[in-house]
Amino acid sequence: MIRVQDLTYAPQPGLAILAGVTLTIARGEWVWLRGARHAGKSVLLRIIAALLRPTQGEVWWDDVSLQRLPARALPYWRRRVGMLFAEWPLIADQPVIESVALPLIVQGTPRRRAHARVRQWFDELGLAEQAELFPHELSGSERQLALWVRAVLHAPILLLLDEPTAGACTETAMRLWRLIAAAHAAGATVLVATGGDVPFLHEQPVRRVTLVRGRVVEDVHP
Amino acid sequence: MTLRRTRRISGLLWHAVTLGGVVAWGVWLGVLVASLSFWLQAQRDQFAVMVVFALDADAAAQTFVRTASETGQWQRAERLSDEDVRALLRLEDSEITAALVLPPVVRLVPRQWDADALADAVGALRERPDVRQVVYDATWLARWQAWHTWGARLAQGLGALVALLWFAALGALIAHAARATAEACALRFALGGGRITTLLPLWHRVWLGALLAAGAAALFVFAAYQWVSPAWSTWLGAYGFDGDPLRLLAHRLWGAVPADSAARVAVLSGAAALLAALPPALVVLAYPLRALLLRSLR
Repeated sequence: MIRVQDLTYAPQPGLAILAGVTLTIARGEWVWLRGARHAGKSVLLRIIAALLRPTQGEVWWDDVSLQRLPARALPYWRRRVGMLFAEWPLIADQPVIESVALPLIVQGTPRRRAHARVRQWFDELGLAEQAELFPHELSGSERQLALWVRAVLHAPILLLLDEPTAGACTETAMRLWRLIAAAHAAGATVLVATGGDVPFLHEQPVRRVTLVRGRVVEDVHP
Repeated sequence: MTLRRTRRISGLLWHAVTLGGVVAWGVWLGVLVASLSFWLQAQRDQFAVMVVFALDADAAAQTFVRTASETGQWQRAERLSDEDVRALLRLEDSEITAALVLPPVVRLVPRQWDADALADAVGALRERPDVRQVVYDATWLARWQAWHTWGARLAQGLGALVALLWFAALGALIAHAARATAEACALRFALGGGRITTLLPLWHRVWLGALLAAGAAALFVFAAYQWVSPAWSTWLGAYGFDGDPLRLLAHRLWGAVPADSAARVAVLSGAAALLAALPPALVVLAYPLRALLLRSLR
């Protein structure tokens, strides 16, 4: 269970991107964070991933406060999380397979085995021929699928997805939503943030949380 | 050959060339800094006079060196006082002082430049029976004259251009490596990397090591030149060398190089600059070439 307690994030005095957000997310829940630009969705996801420190408040994972964890323990927390954030695209100078295999490699999985796992995923998604290409040689849809594989490769228990279909064509976007639904059905807790409406999500058992200027203004359970 | 194997081999080659370039850069930087320091020294000593006395080393040491310590086959000596030099050379009104004594060679540097006084002093020295040879260390003059020949001017201009391009390429390369390292590090951190071994990919660690090695190499080469050159170049200076480390190196590698051949010096310096420019140029070229090769194989 994730408990977000009175979370405030203000990088400068007078500029509050999050202003007292409190949420409790059950294990296995699928939460859809909605809101316009600068609503604070992305920042909330990054604080939950322990990539940003809140100005005030805490994030609890069961009985453990992420803000009180020693710095050396935080990487182990992140290894349980799958992330798809726009600021971490595929590495431009490396073949796609290298970037996608990273979550396993940083955990100590031998390179050969990590690559084999990536190839397995790529085969399933029809990306087998793209594994050795460089990111600029992929289409937007292929890149987004590759990023999805990187997010789920290490079987995380929590998925934090920020605009997961950005840059993908309509068909691939739908495919990605189905993949996310499948990951959720397999037991992962999912937090997904989008700026616009996603009709597919209205048909899913999704909890809708709407943020406006860093505050939760709507919280609708399925 | 499969695409993967080609990529792996070309990747290894790229890294090898890059690392070689970085280390070569360190060595070259050391040479450059050392050359600069010797060039500055040459400006100060531009009208130095080398006197080779017709004495054996022991006799010369006893005659000229007031306090000396044995360091292998070489002896370093303290500066002689003006009075010692005047007494020694029997040049009562000379404005000459001794800078360094390395038996049987005495290097003399005029304290104040006066062409007539120096010419008289040198003339007097040449007439002495105990003086075997008097050599002007006319480095600066030789270089100045070399600048006035179009060939040398061209060679030196090209050398400067190559050096400039080389530094620009190297700067770009280092910036690229730093950016790639920072990106990879941030991504690995976000994906759960903690210690340096999980934060920095192997090749980036090798890169950092190579940069440190290059820095160490630069310091080492500079220190080595500082240690070697005063002794060697002074000794060789008696036989026509001007103390330029590049020429000293050329002498050690390929034998004697005439001191009066300005064109030879320019060519040698140009060749050295080109050789030093080659590894980083290869690196800069290798990156797009590698991408082209892989694309053409696809």
